[in-house]
Amino acid sequence: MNKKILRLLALLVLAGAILTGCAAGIRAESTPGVTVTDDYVYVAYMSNLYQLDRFNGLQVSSFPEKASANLAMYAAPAVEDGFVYIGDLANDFHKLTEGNLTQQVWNFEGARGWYQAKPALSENLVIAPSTDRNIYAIDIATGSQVWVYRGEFAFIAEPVVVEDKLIVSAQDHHVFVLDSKTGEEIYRVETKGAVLAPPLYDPETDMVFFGSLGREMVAFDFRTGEVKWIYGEGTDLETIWATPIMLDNQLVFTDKNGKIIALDPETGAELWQTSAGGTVIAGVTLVEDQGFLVAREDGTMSFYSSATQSGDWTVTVPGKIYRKPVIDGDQIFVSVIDADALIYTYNLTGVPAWSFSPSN
Amino acid sequence: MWETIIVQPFTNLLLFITMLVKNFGVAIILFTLVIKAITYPLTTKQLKSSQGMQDLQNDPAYKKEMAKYKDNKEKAAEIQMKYYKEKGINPFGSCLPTLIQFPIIIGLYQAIMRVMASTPLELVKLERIVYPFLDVNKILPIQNRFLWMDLGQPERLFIGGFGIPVLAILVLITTLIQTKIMQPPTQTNDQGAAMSNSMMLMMPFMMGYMAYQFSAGLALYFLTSNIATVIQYAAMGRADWSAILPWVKKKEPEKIEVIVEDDDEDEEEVETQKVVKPSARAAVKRQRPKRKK
Repeated sequence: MNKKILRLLALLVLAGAILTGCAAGIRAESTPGVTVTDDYVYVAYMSNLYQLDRFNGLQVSSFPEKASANLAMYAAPAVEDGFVYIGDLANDFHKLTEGNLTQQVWNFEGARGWYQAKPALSENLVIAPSTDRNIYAIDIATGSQVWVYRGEFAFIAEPVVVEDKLIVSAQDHHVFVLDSKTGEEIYRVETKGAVLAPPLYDPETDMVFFGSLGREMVAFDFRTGEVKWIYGEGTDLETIWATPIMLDNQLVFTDKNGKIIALDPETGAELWQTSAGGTVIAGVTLVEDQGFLVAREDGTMSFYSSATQSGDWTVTVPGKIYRKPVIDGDQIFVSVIDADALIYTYNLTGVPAWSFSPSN
Repeated sequence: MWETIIVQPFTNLLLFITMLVKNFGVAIILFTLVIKAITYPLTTKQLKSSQGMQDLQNDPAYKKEMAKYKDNKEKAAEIQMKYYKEKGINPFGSCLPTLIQFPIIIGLYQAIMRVMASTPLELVKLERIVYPFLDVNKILPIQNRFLWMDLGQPERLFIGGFGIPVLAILVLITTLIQTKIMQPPTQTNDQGAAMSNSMMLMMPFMMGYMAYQFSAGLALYFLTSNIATVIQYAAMGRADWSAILPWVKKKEPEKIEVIVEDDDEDEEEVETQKVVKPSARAAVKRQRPKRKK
């Protein structure tokens, strides 16, 4: 064949490879989603869901069997009764067998958007928020759609199940309360900005608390939806990206600038304030009966005891932290990006334990 | 540096337009048109330069000389340069504006991708580059819905359970129209022209495939950009409609001779096209500087 024609063909193939190469795969940047059970730690990141031994971090199995550029997962899975429920960025929602992740029980294909939020389980339903602006209720046994709630913006936060109701954060400046059996909206509470994290329900006060990008913390009565108080007006509060915690009858949260604030949950009055010393997106994490953790974006993680409200110990996690660390028993699990590993673990005094990277 | 000079201003401009029109799809269309308007002088220069090159390829005198020295590449190159100088053609005139536009296109792509942040991490990163005068809590997140599309997802119009990639099809068609009406009527059989023709045919399918794979926001940008380019060509009288409309009479390239006047560097290049009758051709030739034999 003529040399020039060969060159021409090579050029066309190269151009095709470059252009189609640019287009392949799912384009989204996020952080590893982590779920901890009695035996395993699940880490969802990019094209795999990894099942790790909780105590040594060794990989037990992964899903899917063969990784694909067209599949990505960032949402933490829900795990119950030997089954794993996880949605991906190829718009599919899977029910997997915990004993063998490659064994899929069913696959729900009804959504036209990504699953970025951890699903919630409510009796016989799995509640899966999607970025296609819908929340899907899927029959846990059959994988068929039971109801769908249609919203205005992508849903990216895990719903909170309280009795037969769901509390859902929305990016359209609202928090919705839905009937978990029918998906009907019972009421909605308005705020000034997008609500990105799940709200906190406090059974003691029967109130719900949430922060937003509208630079305010809102408290409302769970039964009636009546707003009890709003904190933020007249303060230098910045945007709030994470769920608050309830610690010794104090509502504790952080804003983006690293301000740690404690409020009276009944009145919204400020009790105390301190600084984490840097940007905080992941918020505060409750350490039961002891205090709380604050994980800064730059990887600095500090423990604050209930008594002193000052950093009792600090460790530097080698990566950037955007998700709340998970605390289960006496272990701390921190998912990171821009690091050698996807997850680092510590004990409750800050001593490092295992870490996991897919190459392990 | 790249972020500060290109991506950040583009992202903020896109957000600003979104705030004004309160619709992200419309904002992408307007944003594309604004960028097209900014790069208009470059595109014009590129078009004129490439047109000059094409016309030179059809110049009988030039073709005759090239044929004469086809075995003497050095001499052929010398003659070629002489013609370029004589006709005021810059051989890099068509690729330089393209090179300058390239970072703008990449910046535009990155800005659209940034604004369509769909994960908390992407929102954090977007929030950081928003200028203070744009109140972040009012504009984030951006409503991705436009007509039937979710601009953050690959576009499909679902009819009877089937997802039809309408935007991808439109991008393919408009790219095809664009390449067809821009394609010069070549009569040479050389490999360069064949390669160029093949690339021209491949482009629409590549663009269509990318529109199929990428988020609808980017496909909308491709579509708007294609339509704007076709209109731009048509407005400049450069579009060869006979390539797509069979009832339109085809242009006759052989009869066209181009004289490029480029006396003043500060003034915009002025190009006049004249259909030169054989009797007038000698007079035109007399105006040219004499060539050494």
